[in-house]
Formats: sequence, structure tokens, C-alpha cells
Amino acid sequence: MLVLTRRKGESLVIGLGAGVEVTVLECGQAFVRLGIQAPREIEVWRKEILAEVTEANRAAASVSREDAAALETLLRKKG
Amino acid sequence: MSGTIRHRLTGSAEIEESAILTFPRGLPGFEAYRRWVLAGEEDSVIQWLLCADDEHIALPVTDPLLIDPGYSPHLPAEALEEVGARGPEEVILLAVLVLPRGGRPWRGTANLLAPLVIHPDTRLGRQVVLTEDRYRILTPLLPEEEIARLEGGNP
Repeated sequence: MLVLTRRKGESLVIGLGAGVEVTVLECGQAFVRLGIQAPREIEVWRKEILAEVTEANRAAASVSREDAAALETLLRKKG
Repeated sequence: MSGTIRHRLTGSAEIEESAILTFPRGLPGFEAYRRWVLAGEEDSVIQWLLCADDEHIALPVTDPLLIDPGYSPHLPAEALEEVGARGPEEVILLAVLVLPRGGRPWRGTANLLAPLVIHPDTRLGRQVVLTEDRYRILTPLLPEEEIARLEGGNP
């Protein structure tokens, strides 16, 4: 992993001409606030959120028809 | 394109290519799959997002308003633009459901933090992560007391 020191207001450019720029906006004791500029085809995710959404989607794909049918009955009662 | 697609979940019923929804970015966990189809009976609460290119992949989805009647997320303009929508009223939102394996479906959850945003006319979709703190990835489908009642716990 490349490790760099940046001060508030300083930026990084990732990729030459890739249009990705990360700027340190604010530093706290336990956080940094970053500004990210990137072309719209490059998605920016909080890593743990991406991991959770990925896991939830994969878990959803293993739901059985039977369990979904049982839930359908439950939700109908609720509605 | 013409022709039909088969999927395990729809059995012998074939899916028309014209029903395909394109998720240009894929879905987290299924990045390689861009072609999906929404299937399910008209009056079903739960529908299935079927992977058009792998008949073993299907995700149960539902209307997020059914889980949270006040659900009204702020959708980023660029996400709307990407599916070809001029405003939030043009898109359909769906929440991906997760149920525990082998029973207790009332312990299931709906992903209200990252809804599927689909434009019915352009047939483009994207799973969008909201920046709002009030929505969660694992949102319980039922209130805690309802779950307790179903599990035969204390009333």
C-alpha cells in the first residue's frame, strides 16, 4: 500500500488523466473529511457499506421460493 | 434483440428479451451481470429480479413502501440521470429482501439503504446507495413485537 501524508486542503490525483482527485477537506482526531472528484462511471463507495450491500445481495440470491412464499403470506396479513 | 430466455424460477415459461432491464454497473455481488428481468404475479407482494444470464440467480424484491410507509429517499440527481429519468416520479423503487434460510421468514430484512432504482421506459436500473442515515441495509420487515408474537414469545 502506498502511504502518503497530506495536509488539509491538499489533494491526490489517481491515474494520469483519469479525472480522479481526492482532497482532504477537514481533519479531526478520529476522522478525515474527503472531497472526491471522479468521472460518473467511477462509483465511490464507503468500503464497509459496499461489503454489506454485496453480502445482502448474495444472501438474497439464496432465498428459497418456499421461504419467500411464507413471507408473502405474512406480509399480506400485515397489509 | 429477439428471442427468449429461460430461468429456473419461471420453469418452462419463457421470458421475452423485451422484458430485460439493463443494470449497466451490475449489482454489488453480481457485478458481471447486467441483464435482469422482473418476474412475479401481478398481485404478488414479493417479486423476483431474475438474472437473465444465469438461471440460478434470482433476488426477491418488494415495494419499499410496504416495509416503511413513509419511505421517501432523496435520490441523487446523477443516479436518476443515469437511468434516464428527469425526476424521481419517473422511477420505480424496489428493496432487496433477505430471509433466513429454512424458515422464520418474519426474521427477514429489506435493504432500504440501497434500493434498486428502475426506469420503466428506458428499462435501465441501478442499485443506489443513499446518503441518508435513517435508512438501513438490514431493515426488519416486521416490528419487534410482531416477531415476538410469531415466535410464541411473550405478548
